[in-house]
Amino acid sequence: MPTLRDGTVIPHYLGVSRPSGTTPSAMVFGNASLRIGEVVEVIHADDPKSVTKRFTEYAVLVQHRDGAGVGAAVTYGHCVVASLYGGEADFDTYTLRARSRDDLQSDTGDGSKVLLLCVNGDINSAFIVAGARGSEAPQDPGTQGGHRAAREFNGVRQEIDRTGTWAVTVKGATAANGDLAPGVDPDSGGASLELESGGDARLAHDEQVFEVLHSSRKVRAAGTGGVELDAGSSEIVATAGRVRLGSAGASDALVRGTTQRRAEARRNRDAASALSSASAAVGTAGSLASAAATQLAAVAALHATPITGPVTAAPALAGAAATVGSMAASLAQVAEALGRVTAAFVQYEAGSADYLSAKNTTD
Amino acid sequence: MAYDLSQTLDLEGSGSSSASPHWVLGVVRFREASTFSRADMASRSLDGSEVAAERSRLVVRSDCVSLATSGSKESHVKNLVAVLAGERDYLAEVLPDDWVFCWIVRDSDAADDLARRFGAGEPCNEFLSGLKHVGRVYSVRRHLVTGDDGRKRVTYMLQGNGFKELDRAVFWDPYLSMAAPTIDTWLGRLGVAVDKFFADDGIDVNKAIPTLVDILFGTGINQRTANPAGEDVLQIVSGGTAGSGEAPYAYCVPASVGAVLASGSRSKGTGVLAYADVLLPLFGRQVYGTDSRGSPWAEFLPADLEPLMGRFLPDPPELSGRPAWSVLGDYLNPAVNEMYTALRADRSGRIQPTFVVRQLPFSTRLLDVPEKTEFLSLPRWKLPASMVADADIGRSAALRFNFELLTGSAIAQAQPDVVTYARVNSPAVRDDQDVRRNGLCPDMQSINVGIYEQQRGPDKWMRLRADMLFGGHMHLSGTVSCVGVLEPIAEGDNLEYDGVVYHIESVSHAASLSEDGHRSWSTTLSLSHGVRADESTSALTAPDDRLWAATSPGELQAGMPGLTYAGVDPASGDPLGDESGNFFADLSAARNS
Repeated sequence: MPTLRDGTVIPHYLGVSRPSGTTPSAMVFGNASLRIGEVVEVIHADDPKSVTKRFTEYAVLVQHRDGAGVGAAVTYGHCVVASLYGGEADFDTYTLRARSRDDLQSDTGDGSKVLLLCVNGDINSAFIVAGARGSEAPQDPGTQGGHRAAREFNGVRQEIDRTGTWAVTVKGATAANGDLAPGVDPDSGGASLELESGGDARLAHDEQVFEVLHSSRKVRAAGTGGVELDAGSSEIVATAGRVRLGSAGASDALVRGTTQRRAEARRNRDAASALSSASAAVGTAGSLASAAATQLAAVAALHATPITGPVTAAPALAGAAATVGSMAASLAQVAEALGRVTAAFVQYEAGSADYLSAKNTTD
Repeated sequence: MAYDLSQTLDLEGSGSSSASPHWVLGVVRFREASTFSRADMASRSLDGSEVAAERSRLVVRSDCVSLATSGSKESHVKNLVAVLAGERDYLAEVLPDDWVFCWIVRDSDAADDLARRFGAGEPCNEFLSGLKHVGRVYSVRRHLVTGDDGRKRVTYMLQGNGFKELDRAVFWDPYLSMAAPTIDTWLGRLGVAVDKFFADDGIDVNKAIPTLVDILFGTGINQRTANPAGEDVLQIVSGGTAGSGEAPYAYCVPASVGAVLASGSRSKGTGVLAYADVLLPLFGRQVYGTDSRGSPWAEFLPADLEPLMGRFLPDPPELSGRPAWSVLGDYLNPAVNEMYTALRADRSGRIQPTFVVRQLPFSTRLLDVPEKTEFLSLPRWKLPASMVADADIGRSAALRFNFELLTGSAIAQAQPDVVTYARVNSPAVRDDQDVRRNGLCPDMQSINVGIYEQQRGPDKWMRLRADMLFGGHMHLSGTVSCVGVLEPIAEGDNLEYDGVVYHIESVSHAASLSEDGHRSWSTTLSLSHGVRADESTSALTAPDDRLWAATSPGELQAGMPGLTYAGVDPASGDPLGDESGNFFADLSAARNS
């Protein structure tokens, strides 16, 4: 035990030191070690407790131990996260999670585990410079995982695997332990965007997929509830060497509607004209046939009188003959008109090759 | 309970006593000076029975012309310095780290008996054996000096250290831990089950220190941890016994040491002791009773041991490169507990190296905290003034305290503002009047507590320390030299002298043989925390004031020299001495006026 010069014996549990008025407390200004702790409170910028009033602050429970001394838990209040870029135009911000369990019996909690450094060793100027994974953090995949990177924030996961494939998956907001947060529909999560190192790209959620398949030089969109393309009042132009509608094996040629419709119109017009003529001719023939019938009837009546009947009927008979002859002419017109109808259909059929697409098919 | 140190001086009757102190050094020597084989680049043998093999014991009597032992609470290492002269070549006879014992007794017969019993391997540590040192030889040096008369003289200086084993460093190779995952975790590294270290809310001081002592000095790390596959390929733990089914000892002690100290071995056959076998532990808050328990040595042991206060973060202890004592100290909580070593008597009256961990026993009866050890409840040695040769006693302002603030740190905080809550719930203890008069004299510390104490604030602990420290400027302290004390008076005990109870901070014995053959032996005690032994003798009325001693003129007069015949009556100024020349009567009358 130290003994003072005057003979005073200092008890063993006390020490002797000179008071130093100029040496600041090592605890306040000598805190130059990298510290590790857990976020226990988040203080937002609009919180009355906020000191900066601009940035989100954190109270961090730090496990303090210098050298081989005994550890102690010390709360660093109002810590801020260090900025990646430090600029006004360029920034990268995120929030940390505070411990959610408020259980006196618990030791380490589920708050973000962080590493802190104090500017100039000042405990009141602590910056959170990094995080530290606790025992509850997901385990690394091991040797098979290879060279990789992964990041997940509030349910949005980014991963670059050993092949160089980059994938983003949104599963929904999460709680501190990584499980979905209360109220989040588990079915709603799962949308993913994947850019494969082989060149393929995929935007998908379950069976709803939009793929760029570099390997097969294709772009594929699929949806069990339908695929919609909506160009509003603008047009949708699909340019391809071949278009198959319905299935990959669709082989029925698509109709070239306009061409076909024009030919059809022309056919119909021609046929209609011919039929009209035929109709008129048939009508004339019918009239003539009726006249001839009258005349023949008259002739027949005349022929009832012997010898004079044929003489007197001769003009009527001639007239009937002329009428029949005229009817024949009408019938000839009909035949010609029908011929024209036939020609119209033949002509229509002759151009059938133009009515179907040579490359685009449907099933 | 007070043990009168004069009872062995036989002062009855004549009121005087004469003694011719004698001393004995006993050395237990290892058979092999060295255990390393350069050919093998390893120990020659790992056999546990060989590690502590001995050669013949050495007794030094008349060759020792002087010796001094010292021990204090501040340091766990006790010291011995002996000067030897004679024909024997002690450079060859005594080697570093041999075990050395030292006794100082009051007559040659007792010394002869000790020498005989030590040589025979019999116990030599009874309560009045005079055992003053148990330890290891630190150095042996020969001095060849040519005197002024031209004659050459050879002397040997032997230095010994007691409890040096607690200073040994622990080495743990992190590169091995990477290859052997069973020792990668820190508890697995020690082979300790969790419940041997932890309470519900942190590492428990009542468990951690005894467990570490057993690991470092006792049973050691068991085979399952040291060599889980049982293969003889890599020695992970030094101290292991190859092929032995028992746990290897961390620290082996020769059988003769156990015989001298009457300590048994935990070994099943080899007789080799672990250091923990010769180390008497005394862990806990000491509770003393008032009833007599018969034997004087039993009175010096607590009637009960209660749990100590202290919870620590579950941080792995830093083992590598640190003394074991330092590792143990990490879990002490020194704000309210103390840890020290001493030679003390056990329940059977045998003096043993003792390792004490207890709550600071400086509480007054006025403190309203159940978990306290009252200072005056500690058993004490009573030193009569007739034994005292020199005394330097006084007070000092250096020990004034008037502000007590403890901050509790727990392994977890449920609320970030817990320090604020603690300040409100347990504000600092202050003596504002004293602060106004003398300025702020603070005692501020951060202590390791459980979660509950941290939230409520360490109020109880602050009151414990305030009760202990406030008024420290009124404590008497100093040094007292007296004739050699045969009994195992030790640091950490209390001493009553002249109506004041002190705490013994250190004990030193010095014995020497002068050239004219005169033997002398003195004991020097460093004392602190002196308070009045009996408050009823105080003339003051305030309860706190009645604690202090020497508050009225005329107190502490024991052993004070009388006035000479040239003295005068303080009242009249007349020379002392009546017609009969009996100035003692006038002196007495003057004192009583």
